Amino acid sequence: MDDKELQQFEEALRQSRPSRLPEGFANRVNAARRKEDEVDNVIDARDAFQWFRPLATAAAVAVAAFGVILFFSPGKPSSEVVADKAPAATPSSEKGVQVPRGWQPVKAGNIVEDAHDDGIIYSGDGVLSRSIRYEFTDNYQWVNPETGATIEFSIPQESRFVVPVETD
Amino acid sequence: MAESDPADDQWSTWFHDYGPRLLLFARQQTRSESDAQDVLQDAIVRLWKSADKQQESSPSIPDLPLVYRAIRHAAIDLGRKTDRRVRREQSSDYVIDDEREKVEWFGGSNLEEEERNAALEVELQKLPDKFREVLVLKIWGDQTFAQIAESLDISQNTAASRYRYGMEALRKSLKPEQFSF
Repeated sequence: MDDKELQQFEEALRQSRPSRLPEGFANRVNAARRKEDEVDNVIDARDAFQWFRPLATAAAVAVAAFGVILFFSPGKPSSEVVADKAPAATPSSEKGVQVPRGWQPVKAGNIVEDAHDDGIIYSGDGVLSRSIRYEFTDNYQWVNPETGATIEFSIPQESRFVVPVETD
Repeated sequence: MAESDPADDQWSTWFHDYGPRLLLFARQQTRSESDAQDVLQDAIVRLWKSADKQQESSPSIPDLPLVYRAIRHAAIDLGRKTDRRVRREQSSDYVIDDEREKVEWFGGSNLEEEERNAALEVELQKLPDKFREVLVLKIWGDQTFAQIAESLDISQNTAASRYRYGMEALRKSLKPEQFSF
């Protein structure tokens, strides 16, 4: 087959066109691409969630400190008071929080689930102290306004507070 | 109403235009229509992700040789997985339903074209894979030998010689009156 024949044969073959895409296939592929973006956004949101950790920790410490005061208040059932006085969820639209693409944080906060008095302990420097354990749950909520999808994170954590005891 | 993403629209339009030839290539690389569609989808999603990471603003449409290459790699991955699955199934009592769905590779608008295209498809399938993939890329993929070489990880000379052998074999097997040569 010489070059001219080859060229003619090529042209003849080109008359046959690849068949059209099956019904719905293009939509399926495009949807898969967009879904991949959503997955990326969720991952971004999870990464961005790290920005809330200091905020949540600060709130938890404040609640814990408040709880310690109430725990030692005479005439009040300490554990119940601690749980009841936990603050409402903290709005997450705080200044400096970076919102990931396509998602908006709507809620970030924590509640005290329980408190345990572990009794008197001696700290390293010989000071008599009381050990109190607090169980918290950090809650975060994100919403995608475009799709209405919501992501909620709940992270349980436990903190122990050592409060010096006056022995005078 | 949601704001449309220009990059997304660009990719959708591009896929609408180039999808048929990409799917034809994917069909060469796989054993069934569903595999071909899965492989093509996988390749497109991978390219989208990769383009998105490289360019934060607007993921650009990839070059065709890169797309063909991605399809080929996705097909190889799928082939390995399928081989492992088939081996597992053959070593068990599981019965494999090997009936494959039939899809025309080429579209025809009348009976004559359909017959011609069916004959072409049959003869193409008889060609060795290495000849067929070069032919498909050159004739229906509009790729140069340099681009084919890039897509298939072979030299340009190898691409050209495989093309020549493939065309010779195909020409001998097809009826001249059907293809006007």
